[in-house]
Amino acid sequence: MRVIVPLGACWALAACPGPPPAATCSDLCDALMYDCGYAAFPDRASCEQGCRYDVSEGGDAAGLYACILEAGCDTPLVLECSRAYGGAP
Amino acid sequence: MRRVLWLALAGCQAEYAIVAPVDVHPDEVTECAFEAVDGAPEVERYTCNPVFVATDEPWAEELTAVTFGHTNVLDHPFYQLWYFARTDDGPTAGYATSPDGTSFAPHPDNPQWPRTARDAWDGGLVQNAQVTYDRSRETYLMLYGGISRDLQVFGLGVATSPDGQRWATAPTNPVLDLRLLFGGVQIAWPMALEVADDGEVDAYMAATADGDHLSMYRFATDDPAAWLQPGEEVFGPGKAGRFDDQGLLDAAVVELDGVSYLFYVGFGRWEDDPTKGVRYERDAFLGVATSTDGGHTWTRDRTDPLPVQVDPAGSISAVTAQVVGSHILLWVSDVYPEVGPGVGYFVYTPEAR
Repeated sequence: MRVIVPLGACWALAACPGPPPAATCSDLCDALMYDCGYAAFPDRASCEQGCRYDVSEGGDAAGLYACILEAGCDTPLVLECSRAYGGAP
Repeated sequence: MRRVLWLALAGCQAEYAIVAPVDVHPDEVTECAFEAVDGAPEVERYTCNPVFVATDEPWAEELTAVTFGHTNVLDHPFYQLWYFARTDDGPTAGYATSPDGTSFAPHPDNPQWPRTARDAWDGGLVQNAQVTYDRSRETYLMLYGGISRDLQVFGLGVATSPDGQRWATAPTNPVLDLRLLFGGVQIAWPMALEVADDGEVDAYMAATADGDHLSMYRFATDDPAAWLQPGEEVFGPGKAGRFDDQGLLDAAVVELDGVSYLFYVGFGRWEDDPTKGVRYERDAFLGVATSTDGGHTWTRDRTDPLPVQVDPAGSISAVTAQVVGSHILLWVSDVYPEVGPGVGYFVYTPEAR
């Protein structure tokens, strides 16, 4: 059992899509909604749901956040950040 | 082992729930509201149309083509606009972005388009540009109709961009000489462009087999810089007496819930200008058709136009469509009173039909 449990746990880690990075989603929504003031997000809940969905589709929220900080609210660059790190098409 | 497996799966469920995509109606993010369109419950009109007329950029006084796209950020659409202008130095292009689909900010590095020689095949103007993002090649792809300054050469051009703003034209341009027959038809211009995840490129182009009526032909290639296979006619003019019995000017193809939607500009007559040797389309309205076989065959949803025109005489010249959530967003080029040419914003919701 001591052997099986670690194997099972590894399998589980590989199979689970990973926990939603709540802190990063919160940071991303702060940056996009408040720092940049983008009207694309009707409210905070919608932004965070979109973030969690993006992550569930393979997006890299931490990478996206770093890229968006670098972009500094330059919208064309923000779009390219999403092309590079976002998960949803 | 079964117990361990169950525990592992239970761990997944406890730690991570399935997240639904967001489905934001445009009126949740726009300044003005949308209103119902009489005679078409599936269509809503933005009450502050037009959303785009021109920019203040000095080079963009004479626009010759406009097309839209979008990129999701955290599953929320940000909108992209590409526009072409004719200048003394040849055609040039602008790129603008918008978080709400109604107010567009031009890119500070506009204009950006490869300089063309005065006698180049596309040195006069660019028309009917179509842009899409090609995920398989990680680039924006554009098809455009190019015309020489003396209006004697017509060609199909291909351009690519890594970021939607800096464009490079293909060295093999024009990839088709539109003065010549190709596959037995005369191609007029590109109308819509799609790239599948496997990299196959489908172009819908306006073309004529009789020199008078314009149909929509579908051409496919694995290499957007090489168009070798003849196309197939997938959508023709309406029956005699219908609003679109002369043919189609422009189109947009999107897919939603397994159904393909074709929004097209159909027109009813030509007006010839013998002094210039050109002809202009007249009585142009917006139509809609659907396909359930991936766009090979289309059925008109209605025989009359979608009642979205501003000019009752029918001056619609272009349409772009994008799927966002459960809605199809439409940008329709028309002629507005006291404004002139402008682009209106509409929402099409299929389930409301």
